[in-house]
Amino acid sequence: MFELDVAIKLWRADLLTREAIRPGDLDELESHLRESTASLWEHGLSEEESFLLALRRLGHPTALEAEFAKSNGPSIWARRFLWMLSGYLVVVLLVGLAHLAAGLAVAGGIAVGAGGRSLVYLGGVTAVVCLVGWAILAAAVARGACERLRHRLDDVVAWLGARGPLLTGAILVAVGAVNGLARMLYPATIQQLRPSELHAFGMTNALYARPSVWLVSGLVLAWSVLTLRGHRDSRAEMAE
Amino acid sequence: MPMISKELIAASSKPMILSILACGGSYGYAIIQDVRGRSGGRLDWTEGMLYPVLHRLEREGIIRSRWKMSEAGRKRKYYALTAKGRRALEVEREQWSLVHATLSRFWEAEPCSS
Repeated sequence: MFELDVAIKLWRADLLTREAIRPGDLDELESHLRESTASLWEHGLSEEESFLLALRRLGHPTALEAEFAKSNGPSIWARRFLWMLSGYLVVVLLVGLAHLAAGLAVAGGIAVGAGGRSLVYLGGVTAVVCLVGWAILAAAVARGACERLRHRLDDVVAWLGARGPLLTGAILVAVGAVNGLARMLYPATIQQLRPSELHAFGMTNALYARPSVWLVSGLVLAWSVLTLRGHRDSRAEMAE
Repeated sequence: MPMISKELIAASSKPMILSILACGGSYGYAIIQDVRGRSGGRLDWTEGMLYPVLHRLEREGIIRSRWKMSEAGRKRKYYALTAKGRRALEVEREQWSLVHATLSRFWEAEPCSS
């Protein structure tokens, strides 16, 4: 049984993988597609026939992408850069969180007199925080957070574009500076929590790499699973 | 009569869009219907191609856009001419009239006089 909303959702998922087409463009194309389908339907075609004809009139996705690339071209690289930057910031934030929790666990362990055993807490808490963060990310991706995020990123790109290159550069440098400052202040906080120069500090450093690898691989996995599913669905739809 | 070539469609899209919007605000689907109607169906745009052109004109400040709800509850992005757009339309009109007048002279009034 043909369902228009499902068909449009699949069509959107396919076009969303084409980076020259922004989610805002997609909203407009969807509005057009619905309008066109409704009009053909009134002329006596079935809903499915109307949709297929409207789709054909709208143009092949590859041709559409090429056409949008001409008008969206300059902002594509700005968007790629922002994606990398925001991905990096998310990882840094979550790793920092895991780190802080680990530090608190060590301090807690020492406070209750667990001594060497606090290292066990350290590993355990880091792992738990990583798992929770990972689950939240996976759930967000599955619930369509990526499309919404792309919407927001487009807003940010447009906003930065309106500010001019000098101010954009200054803003990006400021973001980097805040991050650097946070990293510089961080070890001092942790060292204050510990009574002596524990070998645990080396341990935390070793753990530092693990959450990031964990998070990044989790994100990549979730992303590729969703992308593959999108491709398979649209292929299945073509086959029908 | 054969279909109009892709190049000519691309070149004439700007004056077409500006002329339609000069009669009042409109949205993508209606603009295409308008062009199809006025050309007797011979100017057939690949519909999706209209939007990148609209976005380019909007960036140039010739038109502006706004999302609105239609009576049927459908979301539509309406476009309208700006003051700069009205001036741009005047320039387009002069240029296309000149091309048209020149060709007309070759083809009708004084064919092949050297």
